[in-house]
Amino acid sequence: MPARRVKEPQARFVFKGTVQKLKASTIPAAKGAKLTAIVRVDEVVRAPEALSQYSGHDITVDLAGPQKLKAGQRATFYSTGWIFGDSIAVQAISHPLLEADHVTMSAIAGDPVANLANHDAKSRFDDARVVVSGQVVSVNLPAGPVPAALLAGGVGPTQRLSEHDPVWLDAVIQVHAVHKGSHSGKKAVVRFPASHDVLWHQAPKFQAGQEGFFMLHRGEPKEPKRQRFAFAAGGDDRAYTALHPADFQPYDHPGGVRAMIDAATNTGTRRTRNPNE
Amino acid sequence: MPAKKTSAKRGRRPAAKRRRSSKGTLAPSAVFLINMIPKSLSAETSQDSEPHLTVNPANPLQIVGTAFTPDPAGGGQAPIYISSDGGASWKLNSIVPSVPASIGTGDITTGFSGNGTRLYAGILNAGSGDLQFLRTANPFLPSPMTILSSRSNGDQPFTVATRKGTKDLVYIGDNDFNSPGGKTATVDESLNASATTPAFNSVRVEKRTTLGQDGPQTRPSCHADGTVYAAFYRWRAGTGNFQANTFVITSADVIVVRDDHSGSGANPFTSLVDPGDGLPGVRVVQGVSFPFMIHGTAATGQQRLGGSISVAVDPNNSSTVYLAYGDRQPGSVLTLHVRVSKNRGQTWSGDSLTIPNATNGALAVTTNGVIGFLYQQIRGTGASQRWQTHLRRSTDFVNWSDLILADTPGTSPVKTFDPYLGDYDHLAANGTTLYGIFSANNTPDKANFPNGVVYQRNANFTTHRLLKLDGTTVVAPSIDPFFFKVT
Repeated sequence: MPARRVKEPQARFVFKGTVQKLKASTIPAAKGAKLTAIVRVDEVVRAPEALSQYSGHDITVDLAGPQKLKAGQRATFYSTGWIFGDSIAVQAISHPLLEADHVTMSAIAGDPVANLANHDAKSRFDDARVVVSGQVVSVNLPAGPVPAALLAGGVGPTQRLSEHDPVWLDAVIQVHAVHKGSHSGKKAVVRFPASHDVLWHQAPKFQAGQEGFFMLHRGEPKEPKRQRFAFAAGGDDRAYTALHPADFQPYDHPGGVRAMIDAATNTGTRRTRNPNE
Repeated sequence: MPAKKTSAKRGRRPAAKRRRSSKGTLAPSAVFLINMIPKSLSAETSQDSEPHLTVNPANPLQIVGTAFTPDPAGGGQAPIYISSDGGASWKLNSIVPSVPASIGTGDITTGFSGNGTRLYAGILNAGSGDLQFLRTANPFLPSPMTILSSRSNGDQPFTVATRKGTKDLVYIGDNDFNSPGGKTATVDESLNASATTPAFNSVRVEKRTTLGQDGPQTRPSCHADGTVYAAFYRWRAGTGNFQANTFVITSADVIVVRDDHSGSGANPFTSLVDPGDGLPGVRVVQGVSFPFMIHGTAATGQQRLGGSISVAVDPNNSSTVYLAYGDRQPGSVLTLHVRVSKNRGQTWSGDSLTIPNATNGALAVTTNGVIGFLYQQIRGTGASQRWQTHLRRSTDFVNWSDLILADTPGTSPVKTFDPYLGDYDHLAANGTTLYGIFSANNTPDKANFPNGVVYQRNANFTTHRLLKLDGTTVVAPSIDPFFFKVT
């Protein structure tokens, strides 16, 4: 069975569990696999909503990887999805023994869905080129090679209509402070898809007046190609993008980015700068 | 065990359900309808819309379904729905290339070739938006599907696979914005798709000038004798503002093309010539109009509309081919028309069915001559608006029976994205059985499923509540995929 090349931090279903039985499965479809085990979920650490209630349930885990486990051992399982039927089977990206993972996991408790949201926010914070706080002061059509034919309602030889059109807009942010990276000027422009199409609906939809933290990216792998999809003439690459739901956190968001900024400031790794000073 | 008391089996009706039949119609000997969300995902609330399915010709117990369903664990592979018992039960198997924490997959359709368990797929990758063609030797195993081809600027891949001799033939209709001259209707074909590194040939089936592009729907249908049809909209004129959701195609032609040799010649899909202009592709209807919406509205039951095309060849006679298309008629947001050609697409009948306020038309023909037509129709307005999912059947193309598979609220749940129900659903035939899939509101209410339904996920048909894994916590209604088969 080929291993799935997913990095441990990308695991979104993480739980502490106890191995009940090796070479066994709770789901018939997984019985053909050689390295499965029945694992009792003792505590869900982080999970999407649909899997947040699995504490106390026996599930199947594919233990592919160099680490060996025995029945009765407790471990932290960093996993990704596999088979979902009457029971579930997941594939463990790694499964360090609970004692070995104590330092990493001991501080995490509470709502696994909230933990996942915080995990995503931290991941987006770490990946962002620039993190600023501020307020959206306007939302405009992008400057540059705007698809004029679309706006006029026509379809020209170089302009194409798709139900997956992202409908790019630019949000202009009055920057209150820069928390990560370098950004000069009192304003920042964030390009975002206004479309509610399946391919774009998860991205934040900015409106004038919104205040909070913006995790700004450039050159995300998926963004340039999609831009070509919508703008046959090419897009303006000067704008930042914010395509992940966690890329915007309102000021009243509990914990989240503010806690990360505080932590980073306290450790001296990052410094908040007010561009208006 | 709470699940027993709340079991969906309370929603099950006897399999045998006799109905009055008239000449040309068939009384269904069995109607089976099932909500495809498995019990382990009783808490899920995703909008699992735009479904498609394929039945393995080599083993009809094996069926694969797809929808806009993310990996429940948020992983980097989107799931397909798998059944090994003819659709009686369903599981999810996450094997479609994707990215973590995403929507799962963009547009996706699949096709079994009939050679063992080999499965092909056309998708829009959730991470890149790229049009990708995929393959797996066995969709019931956990191995991720192999990416055979990947490119940008494609849309609505619609996959059909078959087997000829020792080779798998795969036809994927799509709208390829890379095509020069605005002739974007395309059939990507591989005539040896089971090869280690199969080649796909992008056949531009549009031969006429367009508005700058064709519509997104290019639908192929193939016959065992090597006949392959495809149907698409040639866009000729439009008006309005797409981003303001007022764009209307004011003139389009519904075109059917054909190839008599599996698409293997020097000029594939040029066997059918229009007598009017002498170009390949018969213009079945000219100058139709319909909205091309960026998002659904209250008037359209939250569903965006942009045309609807389906084509199905008679498995007993490749000269007989059926076509469904949508256009705008007075008093109707979209009207579906069903027609037939009995001379290989050269001439066409008038409407045998004309269905107002409907979309997602899908045709299939069984080996015993039953023509099936699946569609979803908006009924009522305001708070009483409903989505009805119908299966019409006929053996003479004159008299049609009508099964209402689902009759669900049109205003609830509120959509989380477009398309609300999907830009398509699907109907397939294998032997004498029709297999179908559609998406609908999942409220467990027997009145919503007049021909019966089975739920795998926890549901209470007395209180009309969905329940989490614990059997007590209430789950909000959402859009789920439903599988059915009728024999």
